[in-house]
Amino acid sequence: MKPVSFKYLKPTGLEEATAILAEYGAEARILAGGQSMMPMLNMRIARPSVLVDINEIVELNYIRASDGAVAIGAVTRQRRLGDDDLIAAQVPVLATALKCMSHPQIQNRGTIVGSICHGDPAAELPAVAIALGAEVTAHSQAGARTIPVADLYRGYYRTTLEPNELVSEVKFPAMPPGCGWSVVEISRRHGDLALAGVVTMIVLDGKEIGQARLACFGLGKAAHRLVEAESMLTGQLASGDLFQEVASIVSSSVKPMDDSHASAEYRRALAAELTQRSLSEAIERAKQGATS
Amino acid sequence: MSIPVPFKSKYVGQSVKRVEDPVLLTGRAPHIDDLEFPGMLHVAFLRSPHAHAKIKAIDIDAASALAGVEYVLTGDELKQETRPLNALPGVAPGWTGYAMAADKVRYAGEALAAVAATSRYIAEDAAELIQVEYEILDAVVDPEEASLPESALVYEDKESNVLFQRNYTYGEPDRAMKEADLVVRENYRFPRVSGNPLETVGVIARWDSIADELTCWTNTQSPGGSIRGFFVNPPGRDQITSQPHGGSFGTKMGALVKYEITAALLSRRCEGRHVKYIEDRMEHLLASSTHAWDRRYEAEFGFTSDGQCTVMKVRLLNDVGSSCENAAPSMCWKPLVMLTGPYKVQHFEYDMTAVVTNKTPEGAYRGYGVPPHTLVIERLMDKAAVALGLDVAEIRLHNFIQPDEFPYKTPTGTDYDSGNFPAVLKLALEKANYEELKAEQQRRRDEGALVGLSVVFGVEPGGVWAMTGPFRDWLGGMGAINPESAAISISAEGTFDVELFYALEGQGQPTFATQVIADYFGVTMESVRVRQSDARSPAPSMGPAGSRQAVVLTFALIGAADKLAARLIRVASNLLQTPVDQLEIAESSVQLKGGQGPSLPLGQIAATMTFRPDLLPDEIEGNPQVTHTWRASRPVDAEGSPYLTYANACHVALVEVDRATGQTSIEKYVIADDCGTRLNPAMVEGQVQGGVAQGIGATLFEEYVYDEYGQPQSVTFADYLMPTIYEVPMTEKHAFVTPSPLTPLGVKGTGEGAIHVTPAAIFCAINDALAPLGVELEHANAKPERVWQLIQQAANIDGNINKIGE
Ligand SMILES: Cc1cc2nc3c(=O)[nH]c(=O)nc-3n(C[C@H](O)[C@H](O)[C@H](O)COP(=O)(O)OP(=O)(O)OC[C@H]3O[C@@H](n4cnc5c(N)ncnc54)[C@H](O)[C@@H]3O)c2cc1C
Repeated sequence: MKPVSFKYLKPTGLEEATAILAEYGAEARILAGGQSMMPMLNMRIARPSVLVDINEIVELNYIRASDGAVAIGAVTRQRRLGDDDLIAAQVPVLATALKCMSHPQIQNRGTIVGSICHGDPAAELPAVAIALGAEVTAHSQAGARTIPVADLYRGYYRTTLEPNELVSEVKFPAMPPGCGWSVVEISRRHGDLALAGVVTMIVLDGKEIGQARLACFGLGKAAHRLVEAESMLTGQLASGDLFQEVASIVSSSVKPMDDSHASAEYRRALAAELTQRSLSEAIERAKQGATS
Repeated sequence: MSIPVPFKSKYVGQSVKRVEDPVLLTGRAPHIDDLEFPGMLHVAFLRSPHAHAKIKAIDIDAASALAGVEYVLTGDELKQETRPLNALPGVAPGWTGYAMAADKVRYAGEALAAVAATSRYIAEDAAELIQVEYEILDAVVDPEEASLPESALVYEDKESNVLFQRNYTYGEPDRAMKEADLVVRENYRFPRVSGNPLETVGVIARWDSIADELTCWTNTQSPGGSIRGFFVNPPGRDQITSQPHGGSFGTKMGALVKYEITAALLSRRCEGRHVKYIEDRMEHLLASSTHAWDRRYEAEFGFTSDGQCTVMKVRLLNDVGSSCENAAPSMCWKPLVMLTGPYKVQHFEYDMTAVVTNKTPEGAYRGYGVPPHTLVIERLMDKAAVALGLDVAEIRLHNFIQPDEFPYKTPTGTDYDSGNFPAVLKLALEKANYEELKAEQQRRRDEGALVGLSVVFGVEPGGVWAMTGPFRDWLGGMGAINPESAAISISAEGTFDVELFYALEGQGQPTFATQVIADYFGVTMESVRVRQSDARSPAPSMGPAGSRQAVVLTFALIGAADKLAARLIRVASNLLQTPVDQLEIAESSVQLKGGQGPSLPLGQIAATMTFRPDLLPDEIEGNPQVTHTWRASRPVDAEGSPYLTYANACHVALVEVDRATGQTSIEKYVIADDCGTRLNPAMVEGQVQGGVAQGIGATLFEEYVYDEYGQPQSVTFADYLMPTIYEVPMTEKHAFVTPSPLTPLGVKGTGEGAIHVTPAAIFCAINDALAPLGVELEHANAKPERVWQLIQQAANIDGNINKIGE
């Protein structure tokens, strides 16, 4: 379990980093918190000839308000999601997601952007980002472009990022006032990547569901939105029957995989259960939000 | 608690802090991977990606040519130089391979070439460059299919894949089964699991041809030993030493041998340079030869109508993996020393079959085969209770060996030393508020929740002193004694040095050795220092195994202390001009019995021995150090138990199974246990909590999974799920003390008890939770999906899936 030989570079600025990426292209890989990258290197699943360690780019360590959104820099650690006031006020769903994720040791090192770029189909943050309509900013020497996280994934652990691009930040739109949310998952152990998970955000319009955003993880090749479920919910009165109907649609529309922990069939059953749990929890929060 | 000690106990029986912890916790114990030698080479293995394949050709040219590579050793070359790994003495030869695969590979992960290079990185680069041409063979994966005539053969020169088959019958089980009022039967599976210590195995070998000597530094659990016999051209002598190690649980025994052999041969090929191999975690999970208890059971118990168990029949099919290179198959035998558990049953049939398959070879694991056996017994007791309308606690009380029946001879001829099973069970029930738990369970069941409650019991053979009784059959009729030694010396300052003859492993023996010796001589613990030698001493020692060290070491320590005390008293008798029989040791002095009159500090006596031996008559031995080797005073060919003590425990567990997901949560876990005198109660609790964690692991999380091609699916900790602190509740622990009459301080071995009983507790509780659905879990690993499948089945039987949960 030793990596192949590689050149180790440690840029201290974004420009230096993009210059390195421009030079080495697909030969290079970015190292952020290393919580996924180090195992991939040691198991020789990743075999870069250049490793670009971005941890010293201190300018990318931030959480800040930005045009009705919360922008988070590429070296900001996941742990911050649990203790940041701006996040608690504007995107509290991220703090909820953190509670499902890994363990403090890993959160202290792993980055928020790294998790999104890694795109593990069973990871929480990509799904939350998709439900929120978050975007990442990808930099290369040619300039910067913005990519909605919903468009970032194109298959199992594959993203639309170019090898010469580095994601400098992710921007999470602030949740609308009164928004109720939920992140639920089933994992084998506390802190494991999920067997299946669902993220829900609901805004009530009077008694009706005004707006619903749902995304799932662990239920396909990548996290994705549950558009059909959203449209079934919008404009409806929340009810157990409706939730059950939505759950069965979600369960039959997702395309989960088999592995040694769970079959696709079981994951579908979890999808139905989690959809119901998630909807009930989000509605509860939305009702509280509406009255508070 | 009264401790039957022959001295005033100030420390013995107290939860004093462990003396070895500062060194361990600050990372200063010299573990095998901390050792560096000039010019040392590092080994990486090429391991087979296939479960079963012929090696048609192997090309090492590119690997050998890589800068930094010193030697590439193939299995073929190794085969010319070595002999096959040891098989079980009681089993026909030819059921093992060599230290590396030569003509064919028998499991995915088996090593077929080893690279020695100037760094592990380069060695791994080179291993990737080795080209192998395989001819893939049908893999033997399912142990039941393995015994069918049409199955592929793991060993082509054998007639089948059946390694051995034995039947042990006691009493008249067939007749008793016919006469039984109630017969309960079930099939069970136990998952393939293993120990996973923090530190994996490692070896550094140096074969010095000039000195004609091979040295292996290792972290073996079993000190002493020799591997000379494996070589066609052996070294003149060899020495296997052992560094302190980061846990073992049985994993640091057999598996090491093949790495010692390979590293040794590489060292010889590289002009005697030191050659280091440290197993990485993937290799440990994939190929360590320590997987255990991949078992299927068919069990059938007979009862009278009032709940007396009269007969047990247990048929075991054990998948030992590709080879019996470790003592693993002897784990099939160990249940013979506790075959009926805590119950009085005269008729028993134990039928065991072991088959080889194309999976990682089995090896020892804490508990050594008893946990699955206990699970089978306890689950069938529950089934009988339900069938007879008895409470699960009641049926156990009804069948227990009673306190006045000890020493109790079991049908297999083993002797249980002492115990009070009813009292231990009642203590657990009382502390768990059993009646309230039952009421709570009923209430929640009525609301639709799947809540299960279990009360299970187990006995723990401890203090293994010999390979006798049932083990003799395994050893092909031979026996063996397992002695243990301790040395003590006293300095002129009156401080004591204690030496133990095996490596530090972590269970806490240095601490209780300090407690015992401090109390024996009436000194402070700070005046006693314990060293663990690296096995270079010839003093016989087996080291920790079979829940033995607290038992055998107290014998050795007190034996050594007695010898030293006698010597000190003789010297003092001379100096004080007082007859020996009027003197005694107390409060770090030799004094007149009863405490009147003059006394001599022990340090002064030692100083006299060391610096003024001229004051002593010639016949007094002036050496202030003694060694004592303890061995049981029974003949090796005796019937009876290879274990001296039988600790026992009752576990009460309350669980809830989630109907929608099949996930189990443990809500309450209460233990009462009796391991005789507790030398250090906190250390006993540590052993119990750790065993609980491993039991929870086996029943809810851990499992080595193989696909239908024999491909291992659990080769990282992302797939082999060790329970963490979040999954293992801190159990409530309560002590009951029945001292063993056979050991000096009344201690009983207790290193394994909790892993014996916990799987049964969790498994029985889950089955109790599922009972209202009319389904039963047969696989002891209650992976959520397995349980969910059963709940689905129940729903289908009901004919209406949607009703469930409403
Ligand atoms: C025991 C354990 C449990 C875990 N449990 C969970 C869990 O429950 N949920 C969960 O979501 N995750 C879990 N993880 C994964 C963890 O969250 C990782 O930290 C995360 O997936 C990756 O973030 P990182 O900063 O460590 O990135 P790295 O590991 O350094 O990189 C991951 C990938 O992203 C790329 N990358 C990183 N940063 C950038 C960037 N700025 N621009 C472009 N590409 C980039 C890297 O090149 C690499 O391909 C767990 C990890 C461990 C070890």
